[in-house]
Amino acid sequence: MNGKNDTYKFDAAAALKAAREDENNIFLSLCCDEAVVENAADHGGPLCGAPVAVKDNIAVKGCKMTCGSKMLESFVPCEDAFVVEKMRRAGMVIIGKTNLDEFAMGSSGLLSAFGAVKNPHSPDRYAGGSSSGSAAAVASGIVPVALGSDTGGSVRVPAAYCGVAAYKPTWGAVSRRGMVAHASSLDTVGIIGADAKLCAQLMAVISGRDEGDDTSFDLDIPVSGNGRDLAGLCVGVWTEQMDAALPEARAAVETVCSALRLSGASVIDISCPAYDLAAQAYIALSASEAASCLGRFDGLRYGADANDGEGVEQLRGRLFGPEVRARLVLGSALLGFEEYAPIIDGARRRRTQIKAEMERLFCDVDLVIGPTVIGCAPRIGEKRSARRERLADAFAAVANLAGIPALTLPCGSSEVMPLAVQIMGAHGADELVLSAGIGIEKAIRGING
Amino acid sequence: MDENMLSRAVGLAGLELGERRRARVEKYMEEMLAFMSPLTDVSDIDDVAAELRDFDTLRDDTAADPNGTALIADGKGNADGLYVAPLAVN
Repeated sequence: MNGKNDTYKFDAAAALKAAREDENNIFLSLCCDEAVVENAADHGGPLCGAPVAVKDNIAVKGCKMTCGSKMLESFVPCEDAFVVEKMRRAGMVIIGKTNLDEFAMGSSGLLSAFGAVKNPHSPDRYAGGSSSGSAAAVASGIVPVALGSDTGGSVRVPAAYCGVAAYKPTWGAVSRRGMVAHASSLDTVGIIGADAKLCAQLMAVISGRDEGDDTSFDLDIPVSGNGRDLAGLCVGVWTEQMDAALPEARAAVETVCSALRLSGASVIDISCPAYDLAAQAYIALSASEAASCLGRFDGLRYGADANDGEGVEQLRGRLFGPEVRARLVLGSALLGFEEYAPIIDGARRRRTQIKAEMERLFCDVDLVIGPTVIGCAPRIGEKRSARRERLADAFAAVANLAGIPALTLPCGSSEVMPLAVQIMGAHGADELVLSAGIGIEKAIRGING
Repeated sequence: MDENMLSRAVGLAGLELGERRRARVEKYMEEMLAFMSPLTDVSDIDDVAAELRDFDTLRDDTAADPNGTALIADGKGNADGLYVAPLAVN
């Protein structure tokens, strides 16, 4: 079935063919065949007939869900995730399940038990993670939109590296029922799209209250996904992030600032002192929550094969990959040892401070912008400062700590690799972030000719 | 982190690791604990402290005035004139 809306023409059959021919290790399994494509429900909404890829930590009934881990290699869920149900009802066609860093832990795209995802722009560069397959599926044109998950930048980082748009909603605006938890107080379902308008349209499909997820709530997202006039908006440029970014990433943000000013918005510098230690707070909280969330995986349920005489600890030690093992030990130590209680306490306090400072900031500005990542996608094997990389992870993770919406948009390139900017809004201001994002895309096109 | 603590942490995580995997985890733990150590100095929690002070005030007021008459008179009751503090304090 072919579908189209006012801007896009969708071809699910072509998407299925392209997914079968994928050479970038994007898909772990396919969820449909030609008959499914032909018989997709004709809902009539703007994304009716649109092919969509789904990160392999979100349940699609009857399709394997591995989370990029040997632990779940044979697991087949018996229900759709809430967001998948909603996409089916909107007439979208689930093409396949995409590769990811194991259990959504990582930002490189190199940490799946089933091999790294190749960046469609350059195979010797990181695709980014953890929603590496979903970002690469959109960037290579196989699908116009894809679902990912975002705990600390996991849709925005790969989207930035692959040159596409991605959206992390306000925490709770999209149900997480059927998505495997990494760190529940930070996790959201995320959206990756060829542009901001597609992200807005998919957000309109999947957002809203779900009785099966008590943290979810209704949010008004216009289905049309039209951009807004930028005149009159006040936008803050996050100085701490600009200072920490590489020159090419700063230049991308400055391009957007120029476009905003030309469109009649005012642009001011803003500062959030509590941002210092955001990266450390994110690591402490996400690792400790992950140790709890992944406790359920014992290697005996969910389809893993135990060798003779192998106990739970041996199975977990064998089936989890190196990054997951390390984070589980770290999180368990932080939760279990009195000696480390001050670290967790400090992380919780810092998170509270960040939320309070962001709330105050959004009394003065409508939106905050900064670089999504430190620079363009790194070369695989390139020597980089681990400390600097960890600190730069907070560019994206700060939105998860604060629970606020954040959109990344591609803007320019360096060494032929895409650059990106991030736009954040106040808690619940999803409509503003998305509609302004559409407007900013148009403004960028205007100044780039 | 000494050898004994590492063993306990690996056990708490529900893992059994061979020597090589254990050494890798040990290195990661050392790096990350050092990276996160500045969090132990985060103590300037003005907003949280202020919020707690508010709750303390409400609790004290509740003890002194269980019917909430004074708070309602102060405009701290809800729109229906009902006193809402005790549940929030608890």
